[in-house]
Amino acid sequence: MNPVLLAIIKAAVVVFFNLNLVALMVYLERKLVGRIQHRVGPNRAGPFGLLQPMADIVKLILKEDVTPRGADRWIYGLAPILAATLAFIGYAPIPFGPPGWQVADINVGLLYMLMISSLTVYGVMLGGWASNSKYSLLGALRSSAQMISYELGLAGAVVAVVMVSGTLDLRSIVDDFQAQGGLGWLPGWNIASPLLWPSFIVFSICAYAELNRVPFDLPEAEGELGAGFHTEYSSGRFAMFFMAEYAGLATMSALAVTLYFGGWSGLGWFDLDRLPAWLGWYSTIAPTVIFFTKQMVFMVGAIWVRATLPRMRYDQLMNLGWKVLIPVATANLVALALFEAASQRWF
Amino acid sequence: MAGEGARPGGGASWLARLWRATGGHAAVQIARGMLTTIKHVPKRPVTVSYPEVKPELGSRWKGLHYLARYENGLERCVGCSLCALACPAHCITVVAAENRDDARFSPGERYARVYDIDELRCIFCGLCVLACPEDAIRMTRKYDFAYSTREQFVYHKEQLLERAPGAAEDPSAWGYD
Repeated sequence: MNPVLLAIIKAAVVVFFNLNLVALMVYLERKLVGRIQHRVGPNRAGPFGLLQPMADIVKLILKEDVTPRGADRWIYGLAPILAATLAFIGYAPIPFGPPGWQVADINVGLLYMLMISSLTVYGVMLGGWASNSKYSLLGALRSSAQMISYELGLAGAVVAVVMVSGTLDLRSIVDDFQAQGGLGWLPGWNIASPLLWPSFIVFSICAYAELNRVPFDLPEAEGELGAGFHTEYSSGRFAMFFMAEYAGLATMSALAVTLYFGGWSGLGWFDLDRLPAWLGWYSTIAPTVIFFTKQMVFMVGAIWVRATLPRMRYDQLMNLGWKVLIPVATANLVALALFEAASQRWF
Repeated sequence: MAGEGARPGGGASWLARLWRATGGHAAVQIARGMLTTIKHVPKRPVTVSYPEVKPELGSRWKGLHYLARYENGLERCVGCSLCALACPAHCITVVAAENRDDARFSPGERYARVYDIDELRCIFCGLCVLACPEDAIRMTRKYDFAYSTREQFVYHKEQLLERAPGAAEDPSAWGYD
């Protein structure tokens, strides 16, 4: 098959899948937060309210698209497109299955992911700046400061994984787990190594901050700033920011699974070759099913955190980022380097 | 110790201070919070799915008013306006008129020619019921009345009277005690 055509088909399928995942997440978030607060959540549209995301998106698109007077029209229109695009293309180098089950197999996939996650700040910043509104601008300022600060912690945490795996290629990182085998009954995922625990903790905290999710959703602190950087956005443009947020969550969850939780490799408790012949097709999609199950665990975890933790104050956020997370990530890196050097020298 | 109490954990042992500084304390508190929220997921929602499920009303629920009659069909109301006087929301308008032998509405000297209640203003406190010396104004358990204009919310005497001839709904069917 023509490789270009194949890449286009793969990209279309993955984007389509992620769009549906966004809809599912919106539904799940409202339902789960509702249950935590002893409410029932959406239950009007369709069975169990399953059509609620569709109703939401139709409502949003049918709304009037307002551009504030004095807004920089071109950038104002560009910002949501940038945000949504960056959120979706971040998924490209994620290996969600055996070789071939990946949109772009690039050997610096991790670097690419970091680059995309740094660029997402532009959607937020340009949107806030171009809106010609003080609330949007304040939200955007907070957001850019926050995202740039936490980018460092995120990169520092990720470098620890690179040091252990010795590669920036996400597929090789996953293969590396499988080559290691398991520690007894434990799978040989990166998270099994205690030296990577601080890295994982820093990574998760920074990922929440990077995605502007609770407890770090300061850019859109609705109690203080209206709706933050997207105060002035309405209709389809707001829907794009909204989708970008959830697509970013999907990408970050996928990255966490890939880096720390063995990607598409299973627990190794069940040999797929022992499946009966009529279930043979399942062994083909099993790795992908495993991958998305793991990813969903992280995404539901984000909802759970959102329903639990209050928003942090801005100075607390900056203190945590610069005075705790970055030093911890750096110390972890140094410890890991010493350990690696020692293991090569003496063991 | 100098500076004791100046900041949390200031007088604590170095181990406790390290525990706080490294975020151990925060991590434990966050974990406790997460446990608290997840415990609520399997619990029954308190939501009443209103149009399908009606809420259970209290035994003394105060709903829409009605004007009671005697057994023989005469109105209890004598048009004394004490309900209007008692009303904190000033939503009752009473205009009294003399009973005549050829047109008798109530046993007393006078009757209410006009009796209007603005149900949008009414706060359903029941003070009119308490104030009434004739036990004429009472309350039903009806709460779900909705209209599209303000004027429709002003209930006139014909609508309020028990078993009123030509009334849209018989108040005795509204479930009062």
